[in-house]
Amino acid sequence: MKNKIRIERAILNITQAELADQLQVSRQTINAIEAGKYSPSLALGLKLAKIFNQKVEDIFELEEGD
Amino acid sequence: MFTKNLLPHSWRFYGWATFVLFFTFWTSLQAYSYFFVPEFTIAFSSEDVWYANMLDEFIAIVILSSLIIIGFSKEKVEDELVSLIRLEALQWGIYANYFILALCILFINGFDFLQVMIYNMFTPLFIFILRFYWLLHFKFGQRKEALEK
Repeated sequence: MKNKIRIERAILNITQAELADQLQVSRQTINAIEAGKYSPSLALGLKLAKIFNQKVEDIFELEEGD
Repeated sequence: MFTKNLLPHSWRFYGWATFVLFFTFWTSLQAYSYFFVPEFTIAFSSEDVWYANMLDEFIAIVILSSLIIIGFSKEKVEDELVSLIRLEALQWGIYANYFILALCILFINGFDFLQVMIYNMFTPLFIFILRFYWLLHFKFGQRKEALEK
């Protein structure tokens, strides 16, 4: 799954650690999501969308094989 | 994040401390059979009263408990990725353990196999813990160069 978290984070000018704090997850989790190593749960995806003030489908995009 | 059936994070330190202490104790018992250890015995009564040295049993249970505590206590930030890594490590640990056991079944015969079964009481947990920490700290771990603003 592709995502635009890195871009959205740059727009808000927050670090991975700050985003992780807001979501109550570890920084590694944010790093893994950004790197495409991990697809977050629906709840975490919705929380991310809320922080970025976007729709989930604007942040995450299915890839072939997903 | 809500996680079920995990022990508090603070327990992990005591798990490691107990494991290191008792593992060292056990290996020194194996290495130096003359090592003086006061035995503690329990009297089992049947027709004849007999005494069994319960030291081995006690050490085995303490080591198993400490491995359970190490493997199943929460991380500092216990989130969904950590839960997933833990479950995957558990699955991988079981596969690896029984693969090794299958090789032992094929190649180790006779009374030596008893020794394999004794080690096999501990190896599923041990392999799981090694895999869990490897995944957590190396595959998904934080490296300084990966830190970015």
